[in-house]
Amino acid sequence: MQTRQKFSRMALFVSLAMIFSYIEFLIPIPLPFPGIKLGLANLVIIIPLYLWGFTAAMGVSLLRIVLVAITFGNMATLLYSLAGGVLSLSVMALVRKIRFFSPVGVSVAGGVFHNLGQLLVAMLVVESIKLIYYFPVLLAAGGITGFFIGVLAVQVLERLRTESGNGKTNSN
Amino acid sequence: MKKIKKGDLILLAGFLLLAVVGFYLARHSLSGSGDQVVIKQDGKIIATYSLNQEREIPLKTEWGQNTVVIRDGRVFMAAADCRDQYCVKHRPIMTNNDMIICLPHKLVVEIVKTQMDEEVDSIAN
Repeated sequence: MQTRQKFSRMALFVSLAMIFSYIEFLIPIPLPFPGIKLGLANLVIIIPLYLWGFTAAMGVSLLRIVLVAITFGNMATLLYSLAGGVLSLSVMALVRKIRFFSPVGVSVAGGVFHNLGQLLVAMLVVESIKLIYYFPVLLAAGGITGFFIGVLAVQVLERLRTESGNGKTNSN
Repeated sequence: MKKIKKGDLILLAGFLLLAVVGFYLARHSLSGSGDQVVIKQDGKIIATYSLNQEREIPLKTEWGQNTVVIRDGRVFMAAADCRDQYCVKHRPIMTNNDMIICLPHKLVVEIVKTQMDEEVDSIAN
């Protein structure tokens, strides 16, 4: 029962992450810099990370990336999403082990390294190290958006915990 | 349960500070003037032009089409058939090391300073 609940919830997170990706795909942030977005999908990656750990979160993340690429995304951007997603989640899993940080700090690091991963791929694509000029913008953007996503994640985790603490099933 | 910790704020502040330092360094290295426009695609230089000569450069490659315009010491992407159009929206570039990138077409348009100019500069210094 426990496992079944975990898997159905993981599936729920994958679909939520897809919806969030779609929302961001529909409403791009009107900035003249490529690659800056709120990172709503990361919200649904951090929560599995805290609930079930790295492997489950990576499963949700990879499924989301691949599904988004084949549904409304673009195969050309798959490599960027993969690099951003894998680097970001790996760093978040490490930062989570440090007691000094709450999910907010984890999310801040995740936002920054997501952008760094994508920048590294872009550097490889155009074979130019000079793209590093974009890093300050991406660094600030990743940190700030990561902060807000982290604050949201704390709220959600708090509610999920009260829910399981009260023993409510809440399964629809 | 997990409230915001001091570490979170220190981490965010650290990243923002690093970004500010980065901005400063980037601005510093983008402040000089250049005299040549180098167009690279897929990591290879495909063309070089003088920054001082007005010119419209249509590029048609296996990745797609771009139109680079050099005018009044500035360079901009007048048109492109890429999916994101970031290169077209990019402000005109005019300083040394600055660049416009069309990522879907693996295209980089950058302004550089030629060797001769650097020598003149070092003599002047």
